[in-house]
Amino acid sequence: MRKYAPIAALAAMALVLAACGGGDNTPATGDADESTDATETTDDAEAAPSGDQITLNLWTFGNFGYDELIEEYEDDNPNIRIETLQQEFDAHHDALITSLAAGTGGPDVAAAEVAFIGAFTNQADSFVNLLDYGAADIQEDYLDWKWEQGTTLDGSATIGLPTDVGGLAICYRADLFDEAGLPTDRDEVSALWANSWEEYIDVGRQYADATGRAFIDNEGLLWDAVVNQSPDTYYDSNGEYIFEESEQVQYAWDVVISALEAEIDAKTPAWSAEWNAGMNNGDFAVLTCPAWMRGYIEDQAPDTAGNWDVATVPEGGGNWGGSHLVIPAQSEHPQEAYDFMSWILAPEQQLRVFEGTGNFPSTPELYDTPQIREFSSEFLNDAPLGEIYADNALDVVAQNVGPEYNLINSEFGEALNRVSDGIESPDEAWESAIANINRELGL
Amino acid sequence: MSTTTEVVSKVDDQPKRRRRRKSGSGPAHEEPWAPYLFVSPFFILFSIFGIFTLVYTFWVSLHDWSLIGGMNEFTGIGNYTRLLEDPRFWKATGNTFSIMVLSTVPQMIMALILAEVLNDRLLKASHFFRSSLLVPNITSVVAIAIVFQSLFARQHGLINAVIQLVGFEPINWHAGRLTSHIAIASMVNWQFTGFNTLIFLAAMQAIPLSYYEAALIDGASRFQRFVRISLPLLRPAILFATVLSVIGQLQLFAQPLLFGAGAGSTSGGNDNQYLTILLYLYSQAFQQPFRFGYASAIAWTLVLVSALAAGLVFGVNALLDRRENRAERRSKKAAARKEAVR
Repeated sequence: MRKYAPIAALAAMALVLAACGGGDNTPATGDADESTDATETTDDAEAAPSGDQITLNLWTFGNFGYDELIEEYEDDNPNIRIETLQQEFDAHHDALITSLAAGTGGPDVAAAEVAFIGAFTNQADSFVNLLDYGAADIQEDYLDWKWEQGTTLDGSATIGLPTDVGGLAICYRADLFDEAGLPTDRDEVSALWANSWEEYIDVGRQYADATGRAFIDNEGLLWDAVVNQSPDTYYDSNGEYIFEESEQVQYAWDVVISALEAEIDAKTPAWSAEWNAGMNNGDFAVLTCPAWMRGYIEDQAPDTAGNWDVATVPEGGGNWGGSHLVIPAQSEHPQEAYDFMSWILAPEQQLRVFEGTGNFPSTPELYDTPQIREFSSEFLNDAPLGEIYADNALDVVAQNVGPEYNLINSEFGEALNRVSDGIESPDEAWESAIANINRELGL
Repeated sequence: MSTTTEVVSKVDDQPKRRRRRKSGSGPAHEEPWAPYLFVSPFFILFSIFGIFTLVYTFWVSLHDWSLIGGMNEFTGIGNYTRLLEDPRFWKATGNTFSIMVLSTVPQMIMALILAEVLNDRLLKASHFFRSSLLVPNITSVVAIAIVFQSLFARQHGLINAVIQLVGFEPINWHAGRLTSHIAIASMVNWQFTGFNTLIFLAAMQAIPLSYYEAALIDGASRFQRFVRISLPLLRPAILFATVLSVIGQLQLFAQPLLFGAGAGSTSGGNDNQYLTILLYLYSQAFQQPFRFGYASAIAWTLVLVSALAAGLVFGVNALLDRRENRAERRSKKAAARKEAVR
């Protein structure tokens, strides 16, 4: 008997290890205080007499403003519990992609930002096709271009329902414009550059000449704003690469190069500490401004309240940011997940999210409601934000984002940054960008 | 049956135990498997999280494998040959070694000097200095990187402000290859010099004082005592610290990631000036185009590079050892010759 003792001991240890690994029956850490409160546990059990209590896991990033709505949904649907996990942008998408790769451990409903949605529609098998659950019936509620971003190119599957859209506008410092002898009224400012980006750069030149300071924050955001104003950017509507011959890409390149040559940029990279400081110090006078940017400026530069105003973007519509909600194929409750998702993204709920967080709805029927039409912000000098973003969102043209949008876009961004740093000439930078993209894509 | 075996074992246990006690090798092994049981948790965990992952990573590296698309096809060594032709990988390797040298060499020199200073018995409040050395080591790398990022910032950075005060042009630290390496190496140096100082200090305190006293009587200066006594006797400690540092620097990730301007910048600079091997691995696997198989090939190459680098350090040490032995033998021979002449 003794001879088997080591094997028995090892087996026991293996069992202990296995028990640690199998998470299905062990209570989650968050439930620890619940289990000590015995009465509450029984209350929960009574609330769901049928016994088929379903827990939906919802993963989001940043601030989707869903907390209150989720409570309401749980009250109306006592057999549904929703567990939310809210992380930072990168951590959220890393975790989501890792769970897709593992084929397990993922959520029932997840947010996917616009930069990722193209990669996800390209792998539509990893997600639930919402058309199977009747999503076609609610398609009309949403902006066409936004809906198409969540749909595969052949239209056979829709994997994402639209949440918010970014829209695009130009936030400008009226006080600094005044110092430079430029008009400060928002309509007059919008008229300054209504026709083209070239006019925008000319205003920048005037500003820089008058004040000796930079006009734009950096070349990267200018690039993002211009390049996304066309349906044909990096991919055509059939999913073929056109980044090298696309007229819009070439045009955006020329606009940014002429801005760099005019020396009107503050060389403060977006999201850096210097950028944040620049908003306070007046290192630059304008910012590319999607709807969600207001909150960021308010956080970083509270002392500049009332100095900012909002003008329209040159050459029409544009979009920066915004997300979809998706259901990974591994979800065990796709029907319940879809029911929840289609409820929380219905126009009425999007309006409440907008009122709470400022995330701009993707449902155009709201754009005529007084809540949107009359929405303004004291911080941005009472500019009619609702009107500006609504008109802008309606102007956006559907663009095939494509599975490698991020990769291509950041190669162009870095190439322009090399020009800004004086490492390469504009022509060299264009060539190296194309070469890098081709190599990374394996073309 | 069992009783007979027990009797037998009791009988021949006696002399064995006595013999063991004589040789002083501890208690009798009545359960010979016991030690294996006690060390097994490590090996079980290591085989799950170490060996299995290594082997699985190698398996992945032989495939065209997309992180979100799954396994596509077997490509054999395709990922590895592609790696050899990838200019970004070679740039990342160059950067990694450059930052490694820039952080390991000054770190060791500074740690040795600091340890020598702190070993001085006349130093007051030495406990305070010793414990404060560990503070950078327990600081979060994210906090360090944020502070250093603003120190080295282009527009409002403290270092550029000082440079301008002295009358020079401000430096765009991120743009230059060497300047960005210096900035990143300075983060590493700040964080780990204290840790190495403590290793050296502990080793120094193990050196018998009589050596120093003898040298003092012979009239050796403090510098001579440091170079002739401390340094040679510290060599095992220096070897240990250098290997740790080299392996650590090869896996440099958080510092270059956070030094990069803006959020989530995994390119390591607009011209990959400070792209390290691990940063490249991460960007290939977890960013578009989610090339998981290729990233696994980078991981395995990094394992080989780490082994080579550690081997190199050990090789240099062995070389020094041999030279020392030869010198010792020569001086012994000389002494013997002198004796003979006398």
